[in-house]
Amino acid sequence: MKFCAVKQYFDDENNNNITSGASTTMIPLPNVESHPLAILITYCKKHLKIKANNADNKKETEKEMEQYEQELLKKVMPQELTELILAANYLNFKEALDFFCRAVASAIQNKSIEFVRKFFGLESDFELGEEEKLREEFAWSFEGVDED
Amino acid sequence: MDKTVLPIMDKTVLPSDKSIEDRISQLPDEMLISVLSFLTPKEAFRTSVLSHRWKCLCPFLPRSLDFDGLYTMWEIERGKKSLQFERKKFLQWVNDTLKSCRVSTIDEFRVCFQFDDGSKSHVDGWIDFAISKGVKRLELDFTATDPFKDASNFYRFPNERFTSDKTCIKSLTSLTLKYIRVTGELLEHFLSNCPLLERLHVDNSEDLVNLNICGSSLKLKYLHIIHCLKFKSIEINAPNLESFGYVGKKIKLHVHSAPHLLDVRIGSMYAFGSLSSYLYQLESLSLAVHSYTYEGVKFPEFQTLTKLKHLKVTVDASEGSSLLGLIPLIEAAPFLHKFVFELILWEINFPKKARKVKKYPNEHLKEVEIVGFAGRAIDIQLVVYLLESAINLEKIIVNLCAPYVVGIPCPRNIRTTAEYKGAREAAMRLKEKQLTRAEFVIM
Repeated sequence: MKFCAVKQYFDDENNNNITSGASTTMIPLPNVESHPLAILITYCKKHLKIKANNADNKKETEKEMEQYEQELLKKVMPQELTELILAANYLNFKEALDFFCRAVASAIQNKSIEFVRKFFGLESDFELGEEEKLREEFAWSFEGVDED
Repeated sequence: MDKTVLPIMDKTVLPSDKSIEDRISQLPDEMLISVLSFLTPKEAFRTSVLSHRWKCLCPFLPRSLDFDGLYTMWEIERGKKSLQFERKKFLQWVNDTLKSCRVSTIDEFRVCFQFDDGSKSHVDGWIDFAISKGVKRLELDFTATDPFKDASNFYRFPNERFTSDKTCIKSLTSLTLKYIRVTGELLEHFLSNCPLLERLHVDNSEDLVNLNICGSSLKLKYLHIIHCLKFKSIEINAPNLESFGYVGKKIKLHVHSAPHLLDVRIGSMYAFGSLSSYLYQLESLSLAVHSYTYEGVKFPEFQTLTKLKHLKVTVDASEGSSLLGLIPLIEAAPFLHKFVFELILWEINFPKKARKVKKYPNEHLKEVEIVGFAGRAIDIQLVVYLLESAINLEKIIVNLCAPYVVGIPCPRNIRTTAEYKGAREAAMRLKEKQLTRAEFVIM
């Protein structure tokens, strides 16, 4: 089962209550909102489907998965990515977590610091002049950055 | 190094609403480090300017330090950049990164740039750093683009560090040293004191003279010695050796024991004799031959290469010569799956005469690749033979780039425009002849 947190829940249930039917159990997921959860479930189903279709051919699986992932990213707003990472982390869904982390990395790749701040909604907590000093110290890492 | 491909974000649009909630700060440190680990070290470093928290994260990554200056080296080679200036920048880049690195261990440390003994104090420091972090894969590629560079001025690997302190290299699994002066004694020392060492690759070390590879617990799987001008002899007793490569002039080569040898790369034919008892077990073989006479390349008689699946032959040939001498070699490998030949053509012409060759159907050959296709009689003859005899061929790749240009960023095609065009047209004509059902790719 991909959603390890859910699996854990089932395991615990089975240990405590052998006779109860699992089909009507409600699993509380307080930290996950419905929208990211829906996306994760779709992602998981798709992943399992592609894997089943291409049981022998690992390359094909990877290729199809990549195509699906590109399509998915077109529909997801960049800001939702953070939600998705939090959800995937809570559910302990490793593949989705890796994918969304990569997507965030791709979004901020080669972008300026101002862009990244706006993207994440981050406030700088540096003192006046502290940031300037850091930028000077690491001047070589600011070469080749995209224009905003 | 595994380079993960990042998914392409079409819409990296900034939110118009200024009050975007800062959810990213809710992620635990490991998550943020995970995101940063997919960026290049340079980009990840930049995020340390975002806020105090991000600044504290940077020292904890990455575990793989790859300082690759290949692109810059080619710019310097083409006269677009200055070696002195770029070298200074590169040194600063490496030193700054190492200074702020707080990781407790690193897996890989690689530097690819032209350095010589003038930068010894810096490079010695890097080696100390890598060893102190328990590095597993160490690669120093100081390839000099100038072929006449004085080899005695190459960087000298610090022998003194290692002969005294035996505990510091237990973690090493792979060591690659190119254009660096390292002695046989030091390599043997590494082999005896690094119980996990699996891969050793030495390229252009003029201090390497003799090498004795022995040890019943030796984990060594890969050993390649390339172009070491003063190399004289090597003895091999390696129970786990799978891949052996030697390119250079004739030496005393004694392979006493290599029961798992699967892949061999050799620079010329004389090494065949020493390896004759291992030929039958090889799965892949890579050879370099010359073909300057009319008759062309000739191979000695040898036994059937029953396990051979991959064969690569690099041929230095003059135009009027013949490559049909390769056919007995291909025939000797009844289960050959893939054949690659690289052609380096010189322009001395011989009068053309028709050559006849008997064709035997080859049932197993699935893939053929020609690198450096010139579209002349010499290579067309061999290609036609292969297309007509390999009845189950699935793919043929005709690569028009010269062999030593392949893999280089922004290749400068050394062929003149006219020759290159002629090659492409000849390849197209061959394709149109439809001699085979296989997929025909022209690059």
